[in-house]
Amino acid sequence: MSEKLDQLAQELLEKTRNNKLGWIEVESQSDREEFSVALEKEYSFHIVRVVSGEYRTIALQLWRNQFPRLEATARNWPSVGAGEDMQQVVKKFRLYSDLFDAVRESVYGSDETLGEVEQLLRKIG
Amino acid sequence: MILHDWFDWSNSGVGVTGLALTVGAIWQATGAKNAAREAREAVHQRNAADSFAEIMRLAEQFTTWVECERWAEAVVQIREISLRLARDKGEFSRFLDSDADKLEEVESDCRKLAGLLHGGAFPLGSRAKRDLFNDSLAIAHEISGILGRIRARAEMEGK
Repeated sequence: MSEKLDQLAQELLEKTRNNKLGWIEVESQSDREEFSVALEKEYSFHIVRVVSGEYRTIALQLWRNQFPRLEATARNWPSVGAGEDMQQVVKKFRLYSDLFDAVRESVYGSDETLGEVEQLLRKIG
Repeated sequence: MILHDWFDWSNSGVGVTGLALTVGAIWQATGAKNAAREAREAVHQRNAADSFAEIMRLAEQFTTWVECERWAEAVVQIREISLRLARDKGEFSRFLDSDADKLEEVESDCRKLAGLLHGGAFPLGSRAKRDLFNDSLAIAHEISGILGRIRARAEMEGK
């Protein structure tokens, strides 16, 4: 199931970068940032990042009827078990981190947006 | 009279033989010295290749830390790479040829990245992360190229 969510994460990333999804911020604690996007038929995605020092855990959850149904997580401090490919672990973390950054920037605006705003303010004089 | 001539000739013979043996010994000693010098150079060149292979391993590890956003490890690693590059540039300069300038640039890039990672405005935006990944890959790429050329030169000289 986690693999399926990884595929959906890739699709979510592309759609988020193309501004096709309306993510909103979900109120949460200080060490935790959470965003969600509602789809039709009571489905929604939540993405949560928990930061503790250098440790980062990013969880992608599929919700239905206000309850989480599926969850996949990526960590930047993975315990690479027997048979687990480090490259795959890093690749997964990059995908989830890129998705989280794209979501965050779609909500708050990116560095580019801030640059544009700065230019507009300068035009006003 | 005949006896006297015979002594003269035998003395001359001994002298010439001694001279020939001395020349031979000198020639052999010079050859052995050159061979020892060449062997020492070959070992030194192999040490250079081994040392750069180790730096290459550190650079690969650095890119993984950057990809995993493990900034504390990344900054320690890039500082180590920078210090090792400075040391190896001094120690193995005669095997670097035109790569000496390239190494200077790589070392400077490493110092810049170390400064950025040490005093950067975290959390980084996606653009800053992308730039950092690209820079870390570029450093690994350059070190890999230098290592390849050192190995190729060592092989050529070995032949």
